[in-house]
Amino acid sequence: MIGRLIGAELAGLRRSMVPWLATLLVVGGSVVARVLAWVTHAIGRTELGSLPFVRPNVGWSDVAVPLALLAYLILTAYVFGRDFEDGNIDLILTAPVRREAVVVARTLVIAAGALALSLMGWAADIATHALLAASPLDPGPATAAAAALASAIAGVATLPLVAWAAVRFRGVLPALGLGIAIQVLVLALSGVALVRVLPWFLPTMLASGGGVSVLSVGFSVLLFVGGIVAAIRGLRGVDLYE
Amino acid sequence: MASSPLIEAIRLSKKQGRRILLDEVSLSVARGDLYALVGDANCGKTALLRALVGLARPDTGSARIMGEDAGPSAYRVFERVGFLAADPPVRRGLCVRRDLEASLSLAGVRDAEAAGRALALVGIGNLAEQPAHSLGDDDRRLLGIARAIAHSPELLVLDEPTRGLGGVERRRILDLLRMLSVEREITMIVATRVADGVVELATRVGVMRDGSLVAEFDRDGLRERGREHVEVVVSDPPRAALVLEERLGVTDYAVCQEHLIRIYVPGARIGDINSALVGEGIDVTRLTVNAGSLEDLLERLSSGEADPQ
Repeated sequence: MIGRLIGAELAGLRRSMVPWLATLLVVGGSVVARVLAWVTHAIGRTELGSLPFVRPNVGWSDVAVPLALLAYLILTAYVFGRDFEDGNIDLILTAPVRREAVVVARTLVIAAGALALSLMGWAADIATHALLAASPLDPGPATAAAAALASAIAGVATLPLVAWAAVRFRGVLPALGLGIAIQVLVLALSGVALVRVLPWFLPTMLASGGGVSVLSVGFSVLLFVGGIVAAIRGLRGVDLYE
Repeated sequence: MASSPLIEAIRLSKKQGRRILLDEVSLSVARGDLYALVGDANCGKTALLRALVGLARPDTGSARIMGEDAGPSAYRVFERVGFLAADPPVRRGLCVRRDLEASLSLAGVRDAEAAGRALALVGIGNLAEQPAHSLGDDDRRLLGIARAIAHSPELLVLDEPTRGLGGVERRRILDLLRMLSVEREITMIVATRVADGVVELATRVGVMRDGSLVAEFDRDGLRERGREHVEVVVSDPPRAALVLEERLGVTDYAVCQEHLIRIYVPGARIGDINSALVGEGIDVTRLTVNAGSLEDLLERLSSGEADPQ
């Protein structure tokens, strides 16, 4: 059953522009981060501390991370929300498949997609690094890889929350709006120690070499599992009387 | 022993804000029935069908389908149930055949010919390679019907399968429903407007109005009720019955409600009836002639002009 559902999801994504948009955001983010490092060095900057929006310990990877998180957010909102907008949810809910399996299959597809995209982002990063002269402002390949992987993990950890919103509010845009609002809120509150254990900070923590606390991992797992349960409950309780 | 119903509503009620979508609706459809659910737009047909297949959640009451409580846990029944929504969706970016194959794949059907057969049955085999989203409303409905029947279900739940179809397409779908009902013995519940031709095929008819099921007939009962007759509301029905029999020689009548008598007489003997009753001191408060059209009867029942009893 899961296999059939994964096949249906992949078929749906193949004929959509959304995977291309997600790829553009992730790969583009990696390339832009490298190019910005190169440009910064070319115009004579030798340290990052005085640049706005760029934290010295993470460097230009900070550009790639929010773009990657946005890509995973768009992918999740689309996969879980589009059926409510085009009416195809009727086809899913009157097919002989468990609603739990629908959520699990879609989660697996997005998780695999996020990991694949992070690998592509990292590959783009390495390729750009090879093309452009190395600068002291370049994030090292290890830093970039950690940021890319952590972005994917953060995307996966938070995807069920977005999935729940797509099911609860029946569409792509409400889920997208909620996801972006949470990300902005979390970034705005980044000074608060407790907020920094949230999954959205995993990329920064890993890329800066700061390590990840047990609390942070635990919270990510909790958010993931809780989100999955909420999304399943939402899909089981969906009420489509028209 | 009678077999248990394939689909059943038990005192289903549902509100949307202040609007009553369903009001204590109970019905059951036995194996082999073709149940036509008749009513105007917004009378609750769609909400009822969607509750029966588990897409809508009733506020109170329950729905059962193929012996299981309708809802998320009854997902397996859709291996044996086909559903047509009022506005059938299509999958963007797929051709008609692939769209249908995607549904069959979800249903676990591996028969490579099933999609082609279903499309041919509904008459859109020639559109198989067209993009599904480019279909007009009529062809989308036909694709929806093909989707509902492609996996050879035992039970079909169809929401207005002939709505908006032209004469040829409508005739084809009515013939298809007749074939599925009679030859393949598929049980059906079909929501329909009165004049859509489904009623003529039905073994049972339910009439909905304002969220309530106001009348139910079997085939004979419907024909009986649809015969030309005079309805008379009188102050004293037992005496009126006596007058009808003894003075007018009328024996084909029915006392339907406390004061309502339905008299089946060929030709309008309305004047004789009125004179005889009034002459015996019986008050006549209403006297109407019904011309005997099934469609007219159902129209008047669903609009509230006719008495459901």
